[in-house]
Amino acid sequence: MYVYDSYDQQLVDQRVAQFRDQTDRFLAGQLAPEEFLPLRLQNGLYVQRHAPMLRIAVPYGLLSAKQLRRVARVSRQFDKGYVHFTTRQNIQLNWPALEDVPDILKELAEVQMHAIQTSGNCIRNTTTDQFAGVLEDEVEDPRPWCELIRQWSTLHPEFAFLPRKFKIAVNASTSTDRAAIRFHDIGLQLVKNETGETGFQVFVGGGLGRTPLAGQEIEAFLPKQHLLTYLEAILRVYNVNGRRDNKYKARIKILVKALGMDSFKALVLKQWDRIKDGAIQLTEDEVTRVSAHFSDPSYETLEDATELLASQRFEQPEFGHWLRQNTQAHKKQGYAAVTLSLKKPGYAPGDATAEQIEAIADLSEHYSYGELRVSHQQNVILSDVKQTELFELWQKLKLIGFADATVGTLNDVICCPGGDYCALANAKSIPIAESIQRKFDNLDYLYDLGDLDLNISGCMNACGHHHIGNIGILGVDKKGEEFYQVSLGGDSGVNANIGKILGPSFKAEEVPAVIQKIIDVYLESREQDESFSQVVHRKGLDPFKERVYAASN
Amino acid sequence: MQHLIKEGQSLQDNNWTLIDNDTEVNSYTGYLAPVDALLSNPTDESITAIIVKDADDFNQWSQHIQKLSLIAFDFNAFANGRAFTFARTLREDAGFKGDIRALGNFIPDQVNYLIRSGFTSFACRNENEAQTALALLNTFSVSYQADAVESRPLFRRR
Repeated sequence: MYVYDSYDQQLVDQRVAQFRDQTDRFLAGQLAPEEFLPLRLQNGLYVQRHAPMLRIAVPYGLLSAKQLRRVARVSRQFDKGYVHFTTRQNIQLNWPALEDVPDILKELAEVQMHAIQTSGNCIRNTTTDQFAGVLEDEVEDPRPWCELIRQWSTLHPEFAFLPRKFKIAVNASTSTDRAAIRFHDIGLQLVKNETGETGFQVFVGGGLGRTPLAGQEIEAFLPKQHLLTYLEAILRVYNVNGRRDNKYKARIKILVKALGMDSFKALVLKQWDRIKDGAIQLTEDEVTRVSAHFSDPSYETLEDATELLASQRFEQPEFGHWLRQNTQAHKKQGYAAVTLSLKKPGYAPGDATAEQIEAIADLSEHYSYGELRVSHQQNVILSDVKQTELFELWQKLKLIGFADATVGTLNDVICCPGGDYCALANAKSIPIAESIQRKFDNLDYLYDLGDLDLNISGCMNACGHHHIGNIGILGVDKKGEEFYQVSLGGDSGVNANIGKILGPSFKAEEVPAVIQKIIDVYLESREQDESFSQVVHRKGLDPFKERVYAASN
Repeated sequence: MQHLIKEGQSLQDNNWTLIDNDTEVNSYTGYLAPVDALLSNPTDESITAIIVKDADDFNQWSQHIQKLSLIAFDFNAFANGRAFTFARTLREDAGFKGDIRALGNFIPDQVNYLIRSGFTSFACRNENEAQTALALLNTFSVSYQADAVESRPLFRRR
């Protein structure tokens, strides 16, 4: 992973000093609350329902055991001893005191971590596939490009006061899109052209929230050395032309839609033409320097442990389920990537205690070169585990409660903190996740359903990405009462699609039964291996509506 | 009196007087002319300094800056960051060498980024903010990007 040199470290240290001064001035009454607001947001600090919330950056979801241990220590010393893994691969502390935040940031800076631009109207943490670098079907490792974007966007002087937040995601797999790039302000797909050169297919104007839209292609092939110049050109056009009169119309997707892609692209090209051959064009040396930080760990030369795993599966069917659901094929023979499920009835999806994350840090050092990843689905990944050690790792994961073999199933719910924690939420989301997980607790039944994304957001801001869940649930407020709207057919991957709303919303206690009816229609309608989304696509919403809203209710 | 900072120092003198759109003057000497005045008479030799509001059309007025020695951006709200891009465009594309000034509701914590975007002077709202801004000028000694002050990004200097 990327290791700071003296420049990177100096910058993060100076940022801590800057925020300490800003906090001191705010507490002394020298900085007005409305002026402190964007400054603290750009350091990841929200003021929430119960307390401030601090979002710590995990650049493209990658962190070391040492960093995770420090996060555990910070959560114990300054918070309630647990953390939340977010859908954008970051980590949140839910209860820090404002006065302590400069000290927290100092603790984090000591292990090359920060909270820079994890919130606010600026360029946010760049995200990517949680299996980046270990996938067989990758064009090339996306992480060096993510790091180059991180450095370009970090404390960029021109783009700190944008009309609205700005999110960039990179995907390198040729068959899947785990980073949901079509639902980002800018989505970058690594591609190769006819002559074998690497570049980017660039999408712009995607996003969720009140106006969910899939990003449109603006460039089919952008040569790689132009990545930063092109991003800078897009950001300039957005900064000048994006709407500032209405925060719900301020994202770049609205600008792209209003201008139309042709006009928008013309503005971008006009800017780009002026800077594309200038100083910010990437150099071969810089790409090589950054890429060197992401070279393979010292893998052993191994064979796939097919027979051993088969016999272990035979003896322990439960291990077999876990192997199928929670491990991922690896580019290197004899290795696998393992997903630790942070989803469990009774616990908020993505939450983990300080003790648990310390245990995960230990396991990563023992089994996976001391590195971990956070996924968009709010799980944690050990990316380089020897197949011969999977059984042992599985047993240890069971002891700390992270071996539920439910990754990818209906119970692997994506969920925002919701009305229990978040000041913006219209409705609670965690209890909804729990009621569904409890209703569908039969593993054989879940496996029979196959991969099925269920995403829950407590409000239109869509932090739980409900629009792109195969089943999406949105909390709404009706005259002070919490209701839930259901949508079907969303897809975050290469078939990027926004789900369609089923109909009138439901009370919280009705939701599990509604989901059951939807699942019943799917099971009755599917042909052979048809997935849930394929059935929704083929049959439309009508059969689902008929069942869910049948008069006999 | 304005609390002016330029080139890292407080400046007591202020040569420019603000004027609103409706006031008519024979000569703009000594005044910050509204953009409308420049647009209606681009050849007016007396206009050497302008004040730019958020509603003014950058693509229009930036065609007539050759004789200007000062362009002042009046921040309606500090969270409106358009002027950061305008200033950079003036420096890098239009080659403007005169003074670019921030005026109005910007805050001291933005001065560092404003300088890096091409601003060279700051008319702060009060003396307290001017002193804070001066104290914050050297918050960062390193930056990743190319900007109006440092033409090469860090990766070409590393």
